Amino acid sequence: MLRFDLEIPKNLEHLFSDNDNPQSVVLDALRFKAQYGDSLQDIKSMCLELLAREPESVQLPAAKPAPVILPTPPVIENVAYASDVPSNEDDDDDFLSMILK
Amino acid sequence: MIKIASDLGRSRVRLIVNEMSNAYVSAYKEIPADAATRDDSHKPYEDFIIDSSPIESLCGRRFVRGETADYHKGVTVTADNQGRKFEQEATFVNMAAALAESIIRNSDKYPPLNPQVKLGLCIPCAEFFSDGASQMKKTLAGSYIVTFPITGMSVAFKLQESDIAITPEGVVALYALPKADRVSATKGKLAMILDCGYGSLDITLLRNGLPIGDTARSFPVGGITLEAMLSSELERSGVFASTEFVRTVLYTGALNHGNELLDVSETVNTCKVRFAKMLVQRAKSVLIEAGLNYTEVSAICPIGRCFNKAANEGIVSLVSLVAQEWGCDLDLIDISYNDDLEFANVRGVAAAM
Repeated sequence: MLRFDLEIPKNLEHLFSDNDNPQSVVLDALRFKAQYGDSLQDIKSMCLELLAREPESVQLPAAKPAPVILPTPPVIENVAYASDVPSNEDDDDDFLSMILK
Repeated sequence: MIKIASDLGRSRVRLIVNEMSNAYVSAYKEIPADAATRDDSHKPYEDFIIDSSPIESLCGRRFVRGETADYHKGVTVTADNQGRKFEQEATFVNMAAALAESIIRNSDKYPPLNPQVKLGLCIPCAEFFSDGASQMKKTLAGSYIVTFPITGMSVAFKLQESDIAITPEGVVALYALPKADRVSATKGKLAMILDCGYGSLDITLLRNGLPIGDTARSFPVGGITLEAMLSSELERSGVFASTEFVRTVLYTGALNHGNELLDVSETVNTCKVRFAKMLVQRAKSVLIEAGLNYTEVSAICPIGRCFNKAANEGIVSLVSLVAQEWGCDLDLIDISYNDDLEFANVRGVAAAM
Protein backbone atom coordinates (compact mmCIF):
# COMPACT_ATOMS: atom_id res chain seq x y z
CA MET A 1 0.00 0.00 0.00
CA LEU A 2 1.41 3.36 -0.99
CA ARG A 3 0.72 6.40 1.07
CA PHE A 4 1.16 10.12 1.00
CA ASP A 5 0.27 12.84 3.41
CA LEU A 6 -1.25 16.19 2.63
CA GLU A 7 -1.12 19.22 4.84
CA ILE A 8 -4.21 21.14 3.87
CA PRO A 9 -5.39 24.39 5.42
CA LYS A 10 -8.76 24.28 7.13
CA ASN A 11 -10.40 26.43 4.49
CA LEU A 12 -9.60 23.87 1.80
CA GLU A 13 -10.60 20.74 3.66
CA HIS A 14 -14.06 20.63 2.16
CA LEU A 15 -12.55 20.18 -1.28
CA PHE A 16 -11.36 16.79 -0.14
CA SER A 17 -14.09 15.62 2.16
CA ASP A 18 -16.76 16.36 -0.47
CA ASN A 19 -14.95 14.51 -3.19
CA ASP A 20 -16.92 11.73 -4.81
CA ASN A 21 -14.08 9.33 -4.92
CA PRO A 22 -12.15 9.83 -1.74
CA GLN A 23 -11.03 6.23 -1.41
CA SER A 24 -9.96 6.31 2.17
CA VAL A 25 -9.48 9.79 3.51
CA VAL A 26 -8.92 10.23 7.21
CA LEU A 27 -8.77 13.56 8.92
CA ASP A 28 -6.05 13.57 11.52
CA ALA A 29 -6.00 16.97 13.17
CA LEU A 30 -4.89 19.32 10.39
CA ARG A 31 -3.48 16.57 8.25
CA PHE A 32 -5.26 14.37 5.77
CA LYS A 33 -3.73 11.02 5.28
CA ALA A 34 -4.83 9.65 1.98
CA GLN A 35 -4.10 6.02 1.42
CA TYR A 36 -4.68 4.77 -2.03
CA GLY A 37 -4.36 1.74 -4.20
CA ASP A 38 -4.99 2.29 -7.87
CA SER A 39 -6.37 5.80 -7.67
CA LEU A 40 -3.08 7.60 -7.22
CA GLN A 41 -3.53 9.56 -10.41
CA ASP A 42 -6.98 10.83 -9.42
CA ILE A 43 -5.85 12.13 -6.08
CA LYS A 44 -2.65 13.56 -7.45
CA SER A 45 -4.53 15.40 -10.19
CA MET A 46 -6.85 16.85 -7.61
CA CYS A 47 -3.92 18.05 -5.56
CA LEU A 48 -2.15 19.55 -8.52
CA GLU A 49 -5.30 21.45 -9.36
CA LEU A 50 -5.34 22.80 -5.82
CA LEU A 51 -1.70 23.68 -6.08
CA ALA A 52 -2.34 25.64 -9.24
CA ARG A 53 -5.06 27.62 -7.50
CA GLU A 54 -3.45 27.97 -4.08
CA PRO A 55 0.25 27.43 -4.68
CA GLU A 56 1.28 28.78 -1.30
CA SER A 57 -1.16 26.89 0.83
CA VAL A 58 -0.83 23.27 -0.12
CA GLN A 59 2.07 20.99 0.62
CA LEU A 60 1.99 17.93 -1.57
CA PRO A 61 4.66 15.38 -0.92
CA ALA A 62 5.66 13.34 -3.89
CA ALA A 63 3.91 10.02 -3.93
CA LYS A 64 6.00 7.73 -5.96
CA PRO A 65 6.87 4.27 -4.76
CA ALA A 66 10.24 5.53 -3.69
CA PRO A 67 13.18 3.26 -4.25
CA VAL A 68 14.67 2.99 -0.79
CA ILE A 69 18.39 3.27 -1.09
CA LEU A 70 19.01 1.75 2.28
CA PRO A 71 17.65 -1.54 3.42
CA THR A 72 15.72 -1.16 6.63
CA PRO A 73 17.96 -3.11 8.92
CA PRO A 74 16.02 -5.61 11.02
CA VAL A 75 18.52 -5.29 13.82
CA ILE A 76 16.12 -4.39 16.58
CA GLU A 77 14.36 -7.32 18.06
CA ASN A 78 12.31 -8.13 21.10
CA VAL A 79 10.40 -4.88 21.30
CA ALA A 80 9.55 -4.41 24.92
CA TYR A 81 5.92 -3.43 24.69
CA ALA A 82 3.60 -4.21 27.29
CA SER A 83 0.81 -6.05 28.59
CA ASP A 84 1.28 -9.67 29.33
CA VAL A 85 4.53 -9.31 31.22
CA PRO A 86 3.79 -10.40 34.78
CA SER A 87 4.07 -7.73 37.40
CA ASN A 88 7.45 -7.93 38.97
CA GLU A 89 8.65 -7.61 42.55
CA ASP A 90 9.08 -4.31 44.28
CA ASP A 91 12.53 -3.79 42.86
CA ASP A 92 11.54 -0.53 41.17
CA ASP A 93 10.90 1.25 44.46
CA ASP A 94 14.42 2.57 44.21
CA PHE A 95 13.73 3.87 40.74
CA LEU A 96 11.39 6.68 41.75
CA SER A 97 13.64 7.73 44.60
CA MET A 98 16.51 8.03 42.12
CA ILE A 99 14.63 10.15 39.60
CA LEU A 100 12.76 12.55 41.85
CA LYS A 101 14.24 15.44 43.79
CA MET B 1 -3.94 22.17 43.95
CA ILE B 2 -3.19 22.50 40.27
CA LYS B 3 -0.59 19.98 39.06
CA ILE B 4 1.50 21.07 36.09
CA ALA B 5 4.02 18.74 34.45
CA SER B 6 6.41 20.42 32.05
CA ASP B 7 9.24 19.77 29.64
CA LEU B 8 10.91 22.97 28.53
CA GLY B 9 12.63 22.04 25.31
CA ARG B 10 14.75 24.23 23.09
CA SER B 11 12.18 24.09 20.31
CA ARG B 12 8.93 23.56 22.19
CA VAL B 13 7.40 23.75 25.65
CA ARG B 14 5.32 20.65 26.48
CA LEU B 15 2.82 20.62 29.30
CA ILE B 16 0.41 18.18 30.88
CA VAL B 17 -2.20 19.82 33.08
CA ASN B 18 -5.13 17.81 34.32
CA GLU B 19 -4.17 15.01 31.93
CA MET B 20 -4.41 17.38 28.95
CA SER B 21 -1.23 17.82 26.95
CA ASN B 22 -0.26 20.98 25.16
CA ALA B 23 2.83 22.17 23.28
CA TYR B 24 3.96 25.42 21.78
CA VAL B 25 7.07 27.05 20.39
CA SER B 26 9.52 28.05 23.10
CA ALA B 27 11.33 30.85 21.26
CA TYR B 28 10.08 34.31 22.20
CA LYS B 29 10.71 37.91 21.34
CA GLU B 30 11.17 40.71 23.84
CA ILE B 31 9.26 43.89 23.05
CA PRO B 32 8.86 47.23 24.85
CA ALA B 33 6.44 47.03 27.75
CA ASP B 34 4.34 49.81 26.21
CA ALA B 35 4.18 48.35 22.69
CA ALA B 36 0.77 48.41 21.03
CA THR B 37 -1.41 45.39 21.72
CA ARG B 38 -3.06 43.50 18.92
CA ASP B 39 -6.71 43.48 19.78
CA ASP B 40 -7.68 41.11 16.98
CA SER B 41 -5.47 38.28 18.19
CA HIS B 42 -6.90 34.80 18.62
CA LYS B 43 -3.88 33.88 20.72
CA PRO B 44 -4.34 35.90 23.92
CA TYR B 45 -1.61 34.09 25.85
CA GLU B 46 1.18 34.69 23.33
CA ASP B 47 1.71 38.21 24.70
CA PHE B 48 2.69 38.48 28.36
CA ILE B 49 4.36 40.75 30.89
CA ILE B 50 6.23 39.34 33.86
CA ASP B 51 5.28 41.90 36.49
CA SER B 52 6.82 40.01 39.35
CA SER B 53 9.23 37.06 39.50
CA PRO B 54 11.83 35.63 41.89
CA ILE B 55 14.29 36.54 39.15
CA GLU B 56 14.44 40.29 39.50
CA SER B 57 15.95 40.87 36.07
CA LEU B 58 12.74 39.60 34.44
CA CYS B 59 10.39 41.94 36.30
CA GLY B 60 8.57 44.46 34.11
CA ARG B 61 9.61 42.83 30.83
CA ARG B 62 7.20 41.94 28.06
CA PHE B 63 7.49 39.03 25.65
CA VAL B 64 5.62 37.65 22.67
CA ARG B 65 5.87 34.28 21.01
CA GLY B 66 4.35 32.25 18.21
CA GLU B 67 2.16 33.95 15.65
CA THR B 68 1.91 37.10 17.75
CA ALA B 69 5.68 37.60 17.57
CA ASP B 70 5.37 38.11 13.81
CA TYR B 71 3.52 41.36 14.44
CA HIS B 72 6.17 42.91 16.66
CA LYS B 73 9.72 44.11 16.25
CA GLY B 74 12.12 42.81 18.84
CA VAL B 75 15.00 40.50 19.52
CA THR B 76 14.20 36.79 19.24
CA VAL B 77 15.64 34.81 22.12
CA THR B 78 15.79 31.08 22.63
CA ALA B 79 17.66 28.75 24.94
CA ASP B 80 21.07 27.70 23.73
CA ASN B 81 22.65 24.27 24.08
CA GLN B 82 25.78 25.40 25.85
CA GLY B 83 24.74 26.68 29.25
CA ARG B 84 22.92 24.71 31.92
CA LYS B 85 19.15 24.93 32.06
CA PHE B 86 18.88 26.80 35.33
CA GLU B 87 21.37 29.37 34.08
CA GLN B 88 19.30 30.39 31.06
CA GLU B 89 16.84 33.25 31.09
CA ALA B 90 14.72 31.53 28.43
CA THR B 91 13.95 28.71 30.88
CA PHE B 92 12.37 31.05 33.38
CA VAL B 93 10.53 33.23 30.88
CA ASN B 94 8.90 30.15 29.41
CA MET B 95 8.15 28.67 32.81
CA ALA B 96 6.48 31.85 34.12
CA ALA B 97 4.32 32.07 30.99
CA ALA B 98 3.47 28.36 30.98
CA LEU B 99 2.40 28.37 34.63
CA ALA B 100 0.33 31.53 34.28
CA GLU B 101 -1.39 30.31 31.14
CA SER B 102 -2.11 26.91 32.69
CA ILE B 103 -3.66 28.55 35.75
CA ILE B 104 -5.81 30.91 33.72
CA ARG B 105 -7.00 28.16 31.40
CA ASN B 106 -8.08 26.16 34.43
CA SER B 107 -9.61 29.08 36.30
CA ASP B 108 -12.96 27.28 36.33
CA LYS B 109 -11.41 24.70 38.66
CA TYR B 110 -8.86 26.77 40.56
CA PRO B 111 -8.87 30.37 41.75
CA PRO B 112 -6.86 32.57 39.34
CA LEU B 113 -5.32 34.39 42.26
CA ASN B 114 -2.86 32.50 44.46
CA PRO B 115 -3.81 28.92 43.68
CA GLN B 116 -1.57 26.24 45.15
CA VAL B 117 0.67 25.03 42.36
CA LYS B 118 2.54 21.74 42.19
CA LEU B 119 5.15 21.89 39.44
CA GLY B 120 7.05 19.02 37.87
CA LEU B 121 9.83 19.54 35.37
CA CYS B 122 12.77 17.71 33.91
CA ILE B 123 16.35 18.80 33.40
CA PRO B 124 19.22 17.12 31.57
CA CYS B 125 20.51 14.03 33.36
CA ALA B 126 24.02 15.38 33.71
CA GLU B 127 22.57 18.40 35.57
CA PHE B 128 20.14 16.32 37.62
CA PHE B 129 22.84 14.02 38.93
CA SER B 130 25.04 16.96 39.90
CA ASP B 131 23.61 20.00 41.68
CA GLY B 132 21.16 21.09 38.95
CA ALA B 133 17.98 20.09 40.78
CA SER B 134 18.61 22.12 43.90
CA GLN B 135 19.75 25.11 41.86
CA MET B 136 16.63 24.95 39.73
CA LYS B 137 14.35 24.78 42.77
CA LYS B 138 16.03 27.71 44.47
CA THR B 139 15.77 29.83 41.33
CA LEU B 140 12.14 28.99 40.61
CA ALA B 141 10.70 29.29 44.10
CA GLY B 142 8.96 32.57 44.91
CA SER B 143 6.07 34.83 43.96
CA TYR B 144 4.94 35.57 40.42
CA ILE B 145 2.54 37.97 38.75
CA VAL B 146 2.05 37.62 34.99
CA THR B 147 -0.24 39.86 32.92
CA PHE B 148 -1.66 39.07 29.49
CA PRO B 149 -2.15 42.47 27.81
CA ILE B 150 -4.51 41.16 25.12
CA THR B 151 -7.08 40.09 27.70
CA GLY B 152 -5.98 42.44 30.45
CA MET B 153 -5.98 39.51 32.88
CA SER B 154 -3.31 38.94 35.51
CA VAL B 155 -2.34 35.77 37.32
CA ALA B 156 -0.63 35.69 40.70
CA PHE B 157 0.83 32.58 42.25
CA LYS B 158 3.55 31.43 44.56
CA LEU B 159 5.84 28.45 44.07
CA GLN B 160 7.17 26.74 47.18
CA GLU B 161 10.39 24.76 46.90
CA SER B 162 8.59 21.80 48.46
CA ASP B 163 6.02 21.90 45.62
CA ILE B 164 8.62 21.64 42.88
CA ALA B 165 9.55 18.16 41.65
CA ILE B 166 12.67 17.85 39.50
CA THR B 167 13.35 14.77 37.37
CA PRO B 168 16.04 13.75 34.87
CA GLU B 169 15.16 13.99 31.18
CA GLY B 170 15.17 10.69 29.38
CA VAL B 171 15.21 8.46 32.44
CA VAL B 172 11.93 9.90 33.70
CA ALA B 173 10.22 8.91 30.45
CA LEU B 174 10.60 5.27 31.50
CA TYR B 175 8.43 5.97 34.51
CA ALA B 176 5.43 6.43 32.23
CA LEU B 177 5.71 2.77 31.25
CA PRO B 178 3.69 0.28 33.25
CA LYS B 179 5.93 -1.00 36.01
CA ALA B 180 6.02 -4.56 34.75
CA ASP B 181 7.08 -3.41 31.27
CA ARG B 182 9.80 -1.17 32.58
CA VAL B 183 11.22 -3.83 34.84
CA SER B 184 11.10 -6.49 32.19
CA ALA B 185 12.74 -4.21 29.61
CA THR B 186 15.66 -3.25 31.80
CA LYS B 187 16.19 -5.94 34.43
CA GLY B 188 19.57 -7.63 34.24
CA LYS B 189 20.63 -5.43 31.32
CA LEU B 190 22.89 -2.54 30.56
CA ALA B 191 20.49 -0.19 28.79
CA MET B 192 21.07 3.15 27.14
CA ILE B 193 18.69 6.08 26.85
CA LEU B 194 19.27 8.33 23.86
CA ASP B 195 17.24 11.49 24.42
CA CYS B 196 17.71 13.60 21.31
CA GLY B 197 16.18 17.04 21.68
CA TYR B 198 16.34 19.95 19.29
CA GLY B 199 19.55 21.39 20.67
CA SER B 200 21.15 18.61 22.67
CA LEU B 201 21.62 14.89 23.01
CA ASP B 202 21.43 13.41 26.49
CA ILE B 203 22.78 9.94 27.05
CA THR B 204 22.19 7.96 30.23
CA LEU B 205 23.07 4.37 31.09
CA LEU B 206 20.92 2.12 33.22
CA ARG B 207 22.18 -1.03 34.85
CA ASN B 208 19.60 -3.48 36.05
CA GLY B 209 16.90 -0.85 35.66
CA LEU B 210 18.54 1.92 37.66
CA PRO B 211 20.33 4.95 36.22
CA ILE B 212 24.09 5.18 36.60
CA GLY B 213 23.96 8.89 37.32
CA ASP B 214 27.60 9.76 37.04
CA THR B 215 27.79 8.43 33.48
CA ALA B 216 25.12 10.82 32.15
CA ARG B 217 26.42 13.14 29.47
CA SER B 218 24.99 15.91 27.34
CA PHE B 219 26.22 16.88 23.86
CA PRO B 220 25.34 19.90 21.72
CA VAL B 221 23.91 17.74 18.95
CA GLY B 222 20.24 17.45 18.14
CA GLY B 223 17.43 17.94 15.69
CA ILE B 224 18.95 21.26 14.73
CA THR B 225 22.03 19.38 13.52
CA LEU B 226 19.93 17.12 11.32
CA GLU B 227 18.07 20.12 9.93
CA ALA B 228 21.35 21.84 9.14
CA MET B 229 22.62 18.74 7.32
CA LEU B 230 19.51 18.57 5.16
CA SER B 231 19.42 22.30 4.58
CA SER B 232 23.01 22.12 3.35
CA GLU B 233 22.22 19.19 1.04
CA LEU B 234 19.22 21.02 -0.40
CA GLU B 235 21.32 24.12 -1.02
CA ARG B 236 23.68 22.00 -3.10
CA SER B 237 20.67 21.31 -5.29
CA GLY B 238 19.86 25.00 -5.51
CA VAL B 239 17.01 24.92 -2.99
CA PHE B 240 17.20 27.50 -0.23
CA ALA B 241 14.65 26.58 2.37
CA SER B 242 13.31 27.98 5.65
CA THR B 243 13.53 25.93 8.84
CA GLU B 244 9.84 25.04 8.67
CA PHE B 245 10.24 23.91 5.08
CA VAL B 246 13.22 21.71 5.99
CA ARG B 247 11.21 20.12 8.80
CA THR B 248 8.44 19.29 6.35
CA VAL B 249 10.92 17.71 3.98
CA LEU B 250 12.40 15.63 6.81
CA TYR B 251 8.95 14.30 7.62
CA THR B 252 7.60 13.85 4.10
CA GLY B 253 10.72 13.24 2.02
CA ALA B 254 9.15 15.43 -0.64
CA LEU B 255 10.03 18.78 -2.05
CA ASN B 256 7.44 21.19 -3.39
CA HIS B 257 9.60 23.09 -5.85
CA GLY B 258 7.30 25.52 -7.58
CA ASN B 259 4.63 23.29 -9.02
CA GLU B 260 7.06 20.46 -9.43
CA LEU B 261 6.99 17.69 -6.87
CA LEU B 262 10.28 16.00 -6.18
CA ASP B 263 10.96 12.92 -4.11
CA VAL B 264 14.07 13.63 -2.02
CA SER B 265 13.82 10.59 0.24
CA GLU B 266 17.31 9.54 -0.74
CA THR B 267 18.75 12.88 0.34
CA VAL B 268 16.89 12.68 3.65
CA ASN B 269 18.15 9.13 4.17
CA THR B 270 21.72 10.15 3.44
CA CYS B 271 21.50 12.88 6.07
CA LYS B 272 19.91 10.52 8.58
CA VAL B 273 22.73 8.01 8.09
CA ARG B 274 25.29 10.72 8.84
CA PHE B 275 23.28 11.84 11.83
CA ALA B 276 22.93 8.28 13.15
CA LYS B 277 26.72 7.83 12.92
CA MET B 278 27.12 11.04 14.93
CA LEU B 279 24.73 9.84 17.64
CA VAL B 280 26.42 6.46 17.90
CA GLN B 281 29.85 8.05 18.04
CA ARG B 282 28.75 10.16 21.02
CA ALA B 283 27.09 7.15 22.67
CA LYS B 284 30.19 5.02 22.36
CA SER B 285 32.32 7.81 23.81
CA VAL B 286 30.11 7.77 26.91
CA LEU B 287 30.68 4.05 27.29
CA ILE B 288 34.42 4.37 26.85
CA GLU B 289 34.51 7.11 29.46
CA ALA B 290 32.58 4.83 31.83
CA GLY B 291 35.04 1.99 31.22
CA LEU B 292 32.43 -0.13 29.42
CA ASN B 293 32.36 -1.89 26.07
CA TYR B 294 29.58 -1.07 23.65
CA THR B 295 28.84 -4.77 23.17
CA GLU B 296 27.63 -4.88 26.76
CA VAL B 297 24.66 -2.64 25.90
CA SER B 298 21.71 -4.84 25.14
CA ALA B 299 18.77 -2.41 25.10
CA ILE B 300 18.23 1.08 23.78
CA CYS B 301 15.49 3.58 24.50
CA PRO B 302 15.17 6.38 21.93
CA ILE B 303 13.35 9.58 22.94
CA GLY B 304 12.60 12.73 20.97
CA ARG B 305 10.90 13.81 17.78
CA CYS B 306 13.97 12.83 15.71
CA PHE B 307 13.10 9.20 16.30
CA ASN B 308 9.48 9.45 15.24
CA LYS B 309 8.50 7.53 12.15
CA ALA B 310 8.27 9.64 9.01
CA ALA B 311 5.24 9.92 6.76
CA ASN B 312 7.01 8.74 3.64
CA GLU B 313 7.72 5.05 3.69
CA GLY B 314 10.83 5.74 1.63
CA ILE B 315 12.48 7.36 4.64
CA VAL B 316 14.40 4.98 6.85
CA SER B 317 13.75 5.15 10.58
CA LEU B 318 16.49 6.82 12.58
CA VAL B 319 16.05 4.14 15.25
CA SER B 320 16.92 1.46 12.71
CA LEU B 321 19.92 3.40 11.45
CA VAL B 322 21.28 3.85 14.96
CA ALA B 323 20.81 0.14 15.64
CA GLN B 324 22.55 -0.73 12.38
CA GLU B 325 25.46 1.55 13.18
CA TRP B 326 25.73 0.07 16.66
CA GLY B 327 26.93 -3.17 15.18
CA CYS B 328 25.27 -5.74 17.43
CA ASP B 329 21.73 -6.66 18.37
CA LEU B 330 19.79 -4.31 20.58
CA ASP B 331 16.39 -4.67 22.18
CA LEU B 332 14.18 -1.65 21.72
CA ILE B 333 12.52 -0.13 24.76
CA ASP B 334 9.60 1.49 23.01
CA ILE B 335 7.82 4.28 24.85
CA SER B 336 6.36 5.81 21.71
CA TYR B 337 2.67 5.95 22.51
CA ASN B 338 0.98 6.49 19.16
CA ASP B 339 4.36 6.95 17.52
CA ASP B 340 4.84 10.30 19.24
CA LEU B 341 8.09 10.47 21.16
CA GLU B 342 7.87 14.20 21.66
CA PHE B 343 5.80 13.92 24.84
CA ALA B 344 7.76 11.02 26.35
CA ASN B 345 9.53 13.12 28.95
CA VAL B 346 6.56 15.17 30.08
CA ARG B 347 4.44 12.01 30.38
CA GLY B 348 7.09 10.60 32.70
CA VAL B 349 7.18 13.82 34.74
CA ALA B 350 3.40 13.72 35.13
CA ALA B 351 3.59 10.12 36.33
CA ALA B 352 6.42 10.72 38.77
CA MET B 353 5.39 13.98 40.45
